[in-house]
Amino acid sequence: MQPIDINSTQTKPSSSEKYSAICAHDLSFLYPDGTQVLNKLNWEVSAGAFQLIVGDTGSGKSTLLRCLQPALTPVGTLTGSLSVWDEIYTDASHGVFNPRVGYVSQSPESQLVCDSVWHELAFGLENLGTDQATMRKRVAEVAHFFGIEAWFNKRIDELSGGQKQIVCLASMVALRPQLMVLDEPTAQLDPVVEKNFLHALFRINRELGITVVVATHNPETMVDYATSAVRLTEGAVVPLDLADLKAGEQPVLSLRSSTQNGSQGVGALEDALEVVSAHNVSVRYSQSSSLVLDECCISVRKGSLHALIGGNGAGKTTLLKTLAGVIKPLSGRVKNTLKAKQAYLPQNPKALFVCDSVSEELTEWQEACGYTFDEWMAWAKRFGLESQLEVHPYDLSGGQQQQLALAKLLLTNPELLLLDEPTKGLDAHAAAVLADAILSYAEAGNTVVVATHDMTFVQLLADQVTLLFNGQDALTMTPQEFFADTIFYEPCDNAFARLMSGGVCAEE
Amino acid sequence: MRFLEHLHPLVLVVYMAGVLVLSMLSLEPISIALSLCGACSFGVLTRGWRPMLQFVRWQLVCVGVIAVANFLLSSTGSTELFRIGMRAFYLESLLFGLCMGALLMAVMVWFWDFASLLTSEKVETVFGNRAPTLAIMISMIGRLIPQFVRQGHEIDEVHQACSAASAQRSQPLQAQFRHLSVLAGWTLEDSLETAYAMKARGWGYAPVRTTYKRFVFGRTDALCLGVVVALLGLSGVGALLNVSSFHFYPVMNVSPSMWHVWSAVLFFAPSFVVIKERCACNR
Repeated sequence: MQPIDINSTQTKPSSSEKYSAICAHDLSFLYPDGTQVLNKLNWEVSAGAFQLIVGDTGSGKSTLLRCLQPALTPVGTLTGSLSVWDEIYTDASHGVFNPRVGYVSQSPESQLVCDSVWHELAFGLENLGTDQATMRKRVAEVAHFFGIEAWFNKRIDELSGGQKQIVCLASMVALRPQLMVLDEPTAQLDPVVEKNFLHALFRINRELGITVVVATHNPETMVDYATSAVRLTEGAVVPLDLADLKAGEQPVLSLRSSTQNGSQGVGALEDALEVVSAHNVSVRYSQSSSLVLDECCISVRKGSLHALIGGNGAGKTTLLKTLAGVIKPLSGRVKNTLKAKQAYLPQNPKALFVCDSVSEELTEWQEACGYTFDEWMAWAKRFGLESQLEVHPYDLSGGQQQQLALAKLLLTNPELLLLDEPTKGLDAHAAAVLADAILSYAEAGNTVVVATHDMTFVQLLADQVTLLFNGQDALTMTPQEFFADTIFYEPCDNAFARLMSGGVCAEE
Repeated sequence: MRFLEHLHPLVLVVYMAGVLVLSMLSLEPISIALSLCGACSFGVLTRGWRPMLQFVRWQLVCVGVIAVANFLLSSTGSTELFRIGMRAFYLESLLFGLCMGALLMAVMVWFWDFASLLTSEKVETVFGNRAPTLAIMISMIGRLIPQFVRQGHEIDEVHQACSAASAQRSQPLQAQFRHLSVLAGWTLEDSLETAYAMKARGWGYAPVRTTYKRFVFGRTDALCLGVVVALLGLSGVGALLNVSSFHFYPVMNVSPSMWHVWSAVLFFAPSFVVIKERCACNR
């Protein structure tokens, strides 16, 4: 495919020419509350690069990326010099949209504005006052490029998460940016969909010549597409070697005591009492829709950590909710002996937050469940929330929100914990802290059912795996048996695995 | 149906508005009967017998209620049917009630017919150029409402699933209010992100917003619009003449005229288009 003209009004830099897309000198950013996130940062990204930015939560990745699009620059003091494609940002440019910079953020759900795909693709062009012919051409062009034609007329609500994120990207590309900035774009996507998205990103970089800058805390999956990488640490940018970001070769070993004791442990599990089960359960959401679960069976033993895996739409969340008893199956039997003592962690912890501060959130069920001040403070300390007790839950980072939600649930002392994608969108450290808490809860003899895409999490923590496919339980076995012969579902020796195996969390 | 679906929304809007106004203005049995038959035949052709009957069922009850009410309350006319005490009941007042009911039903059925044809985005196309902000608002609302419902369900389910925190079931009403406040907080938080996403795509950048037009007003559309306007004009003149010469009381004078032919053509035009298309497909 021929590269399309990047922007009719601006000339595309030729690739042979050494030309920088981003050039920052002594860049500092100070929030009004006195938090300094960027500190005399020097950074240069050459034209046509595909650069990864890694860094811990709160290291200022989002702030840095937002500064590249003046319309999104947060309120605060920006000092030093910053130029994007030779356009030097001054105080006057603050708040003014720069059409040469595209920006895609994490959540596809809240990024989409219109009710249909075609309108979403045209939305940005309408804002720029583009004339009819140009608009039609550009919409057709991006729809074709991203393979959107088949669902061009669909309503946004009918799309899957991956399709939504592709629409976000396509609607940005329709504006013909020369620099595309993405902030954790794949955090909400499952591994297969993530690959598709990254592939699309790769194509806009290599085929259309758009410079790409991606902030991520999961660099292992992106490193093959990238041309360079940097780490943002203490407000400064440090260049990284791409090879350092690749996943390791070490086998990932289970952390469960039951499996470490060899076959004896597994045998003990099989003898354990069945506490939760579903037998030939079928579920559908409306009369006209197809079955989400179709004669699905599962048996969860007491004291086990049972993982549900499978692609998007395989019915993992539906099965969890059916086991919890909040979805009534069309047919089949559900048995849950722990129904009165269960807790459910939803995919989006916001569904669980009722109060205006972290401390209120942690004490919300204190009266009903009778836990003490020391107990909830212990959780706050374990998750590093003790300095943020008066903060609104929404102002916490994604990882801390998930940790707060888990703490809130574990304080109720449940005997059955149902988790929906607990590590989704979290950086390695946050995921490790969370997984460590889940591990110690399970090791105490409690039962956990977890729906997840994270194979490393499954290998490390689970002692039973059920693969859901096409609404049915395709197979159930131990992770060791399951991962012994898979080509795609594979645990990865990533930063999360190393943190967990190294016992970093235990030391903390 | 394909032809009507691909017609420029302006033609559909003009037709629909014209037919509704015409039906409401011509309170005269023949015109009402034509309008009702046209609406029902189009409904049956596009949606099938069963949904049509299901929709009309309650309308018929409504027609009956209006007819009986008028019959009982208005004691005017010349053809006396029966008398209870001093009060006489006339055929004319029964027929007047029936006509009113039928008119209401015709209007409802036309709305129902066009609901599937005139989607929100087609309405947007017609009004989009006049009020681009309104058009984008309609589109955003169309997206937000299903999202609210979904998130509301999610909150309810999550809190229901956390049975270990047993306190919440005791006061369901209070719990509902809490859930509503969770939904409000969540939505507001999301809307901030949506606002950023809008800014990231240049919201407010150009002084004048344009609107992406999915439908081009072509020659066929112009021709159809011409035909519709002409038929509306002829039927309108006819309706004025017919209604001015027609009266229910004291004696009803139903007299078919040449003008009714134009109304018939107008009201049955959509059905005719669909039938013609089906024949072409079957051949």
